[in-house]
Amino acid sequence: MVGLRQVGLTIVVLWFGSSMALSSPPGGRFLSLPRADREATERLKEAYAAYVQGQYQRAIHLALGVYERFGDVEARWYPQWVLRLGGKDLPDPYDRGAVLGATIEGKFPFPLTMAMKSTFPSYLLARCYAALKDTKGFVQWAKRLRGLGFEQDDITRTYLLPHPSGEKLSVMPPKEAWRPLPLKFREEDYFILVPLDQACTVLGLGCTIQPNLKMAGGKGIRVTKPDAPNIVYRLFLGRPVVERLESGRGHTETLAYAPYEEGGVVWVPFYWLAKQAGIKGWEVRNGKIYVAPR
Amino acid sequence: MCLLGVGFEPANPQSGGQYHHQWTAGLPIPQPIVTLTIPNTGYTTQYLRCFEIATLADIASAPDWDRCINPGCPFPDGWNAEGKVRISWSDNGAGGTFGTLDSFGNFVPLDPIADAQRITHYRASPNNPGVVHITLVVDDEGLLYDDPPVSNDPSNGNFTVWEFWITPCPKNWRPKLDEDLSFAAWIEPTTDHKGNPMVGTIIFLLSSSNQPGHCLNDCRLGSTGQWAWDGTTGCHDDVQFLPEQPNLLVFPRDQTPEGVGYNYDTAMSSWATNMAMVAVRCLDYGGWAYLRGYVTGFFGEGAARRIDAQDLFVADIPVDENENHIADWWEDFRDPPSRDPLSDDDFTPRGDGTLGDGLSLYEEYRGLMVRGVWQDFDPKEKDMFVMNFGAGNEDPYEPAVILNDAITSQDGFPGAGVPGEGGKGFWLLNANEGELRWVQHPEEGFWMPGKIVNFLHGYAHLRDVYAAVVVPSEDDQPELAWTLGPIWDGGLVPVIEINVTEAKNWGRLWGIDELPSLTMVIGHELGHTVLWDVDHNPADDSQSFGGDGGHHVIGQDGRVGQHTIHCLMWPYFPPRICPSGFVLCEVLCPQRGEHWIWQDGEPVAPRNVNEWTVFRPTEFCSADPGCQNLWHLNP
Repeated sequence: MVGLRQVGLTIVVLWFGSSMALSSPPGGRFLSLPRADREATERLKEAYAAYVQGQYQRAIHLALGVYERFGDVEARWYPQWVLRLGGKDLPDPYDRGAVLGATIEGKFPFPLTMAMKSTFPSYLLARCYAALKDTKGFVQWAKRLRGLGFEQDDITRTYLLPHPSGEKLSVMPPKEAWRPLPLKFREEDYFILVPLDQACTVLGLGCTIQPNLKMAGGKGIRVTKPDAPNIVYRLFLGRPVVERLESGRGHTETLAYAPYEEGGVVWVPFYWLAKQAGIKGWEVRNGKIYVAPR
Repeated sequence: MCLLGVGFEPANPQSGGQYHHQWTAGLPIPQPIVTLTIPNTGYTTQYLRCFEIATLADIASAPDWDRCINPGCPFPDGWNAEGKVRISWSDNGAGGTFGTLDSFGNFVPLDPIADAQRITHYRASPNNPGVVHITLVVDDEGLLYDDPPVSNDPSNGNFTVWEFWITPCPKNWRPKLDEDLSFAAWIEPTTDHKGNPMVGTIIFLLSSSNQPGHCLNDCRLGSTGQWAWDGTTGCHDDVQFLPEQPNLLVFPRDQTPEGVGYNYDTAMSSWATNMAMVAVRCLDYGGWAYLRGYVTGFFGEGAARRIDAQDLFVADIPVDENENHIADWWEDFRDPPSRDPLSDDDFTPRGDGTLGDGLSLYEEYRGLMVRGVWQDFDPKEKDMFVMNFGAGNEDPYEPAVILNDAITSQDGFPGAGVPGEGGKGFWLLNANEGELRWVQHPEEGFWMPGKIVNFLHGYAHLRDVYAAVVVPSEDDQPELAWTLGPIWDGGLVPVIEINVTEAKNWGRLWGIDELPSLTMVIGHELGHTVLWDVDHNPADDSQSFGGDGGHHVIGQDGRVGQHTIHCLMWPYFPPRICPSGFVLCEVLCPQRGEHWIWQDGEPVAPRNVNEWTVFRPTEFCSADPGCQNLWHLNP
């Protein structure tokens, strides 16, 4: 069975990877997908957050719901942390040129093209099924993507890439064995955010937060893992990136939600901390974060 | 003059007989009194400027009185007069010229002895200022008594030939921001023929270009200090006097609303002096100016003459004999194909044969800031500019989302031979080293942002030159990356949007690390900016190979296109055993003639799978190895 799935995935890889190895025909080809209404946007935002946070089944449920009701509509939005920084100066997220222009104009402290979020059902569905190694679902939605004109999508790569921590059904312990964390949290744009200092204590990570005007965001935020003391992660307030320092060399990764500070508390997306802490699965249940045993 | 002192003449015309005179010297020939007057005025002068012409006159008594001592001389008491003749002129080695004026008023040099009688004017030496004494020797006509010749007394015929010099701009100097040049202007001689010091008021006037900013993409907007007004407009002079200079009063032509002076174009000696030094500051890498000195004193007034070129009365800054506002030194150094400031004839690499990169010769000379350092450009090399909007920041520190190495690496666009060998002519700029320009898509109607690198242009501007702008993105589109337009045309803009996460991971299937993967994707997109119109090439046979727009399987002379696994614009990544254990296949490998076959919805693996090897692109396009023959910047 596994072998057949592999063959199925291979087919799609061939299809996409061959003639469209690299992208960008002259002029680019924007997909002119219908614009999601408020309700669809909200569902897609939630589905996106679920996908990023490893809740693939929930993401599929939500995205499928939107697809069945509205078809492939595209939602484009600014996360709350962006709205707090950009306020009224932010361009219409559906105006790609304006978003690109604001980035190039440097009006925003960070490339707006990286801070703005966008998705549509097929896009999420293909990725979720790939993450779940569900070949049938994956092929179905990857074909749909291609039918839409997403010819250059290399979605199959997702299958091979490390994905965010979260549920992995085949290896996940029963949820009865999951335990709640003594950790307060808040939810923004369906992302679970936790106070960094508390979370580090609970998760066994090392954290330092110090004022540092030489760092973007004004604070030097470092996270270390006890089993890898030579690796330091640097977080930046208001920047959806994390820098991994190893042996003096930096390596930048993107974050789906930027850390921010409020009332002296630094809020960080839990999914990233959970990944660093080696947590294989987690979910919010009854007002608490439950994590799978390591 | 005349050898005879005795003569016969009718003593009395009425008498009819002859009378024998015995002439004596009587009175000596009156000594000449030499004066100089300003031509056509009658005003006497004792100061002549070099090369200046004065009218000469002998204002002493005109006749020579001789006396006949024979009794019965019919002249009253024997006195009779005869004329004086000028027999020689001399300025005693002062280097001037004697002559006269013709009917057109032109000075005609004459021999000071042979033509002494005809001499009416004196032209001062062109280059030998000093005190001059004119000696005039006169004689009598010799009709009566032949007196010995006499010359004028040392007390007259004295004057001062002066000059006012100015030094030129050094020949090997070209304009650079905040560089100062010193010029000296002085009067010669230091004292006149009366022993008075030759001093006057020396004034310097500067006439300057006023280009916006100080190079094509930078100005002092937002800075502080004396020159902070050097903004984006062209209302400030590119070359100015330093406001504070010893022994000089320096005046601005304008003032800011806050009362800060600018456009310092006049400098005057604080008091009468024989010499003044003035310092000018260059405020533009393409600036030019004309410096003139003036002096006014008791000896006269006039513009300073160039010490190195005495027919010139202006110091051009920089030295620019062909007057194209480009320093001759730079032109000699760069040796451009044309010296027309508007020319754009860069020819390397050859590309499709189109000359130029969009920057005019003058703009290549004026240069622009490349990551904070000013740079001029080789007018023979096509230049291309790129900006990285994912480069992060130094202060405050922000990590790079796209390392600059991914753009400049020899594994990417520069190493593929574009624009020049080893990336020569390929310039990575800081994101703030260009100006945003909105361009409406001619067909789709949406507005696209571009970045102009020569936005502070002025003189000799051909067109706006766009930088290729690399923007990191996490958008759902592009899936990997896309390019919005070519590098050369304002109709579209060369903006490249990179889905960074996807692009970094793209090569993983083939065991290619993140940075090389990103480098290849960016290099490929940069390739689009210089190959934008390839799809319109009738020889393009890419579709027959399953290629798509802009991905270049190029037919040469109508032949079916060739492509290789080394090609940046059509990279083949052959099947291999990927890390997860999946067998991947490729569509075809033209070098081996192998085709991937799709049968009944199932893939059939190519033969010799294990022989397929991953190559990273090493050349630009596939028409021929190392080809650049399609690339252009300035169609």
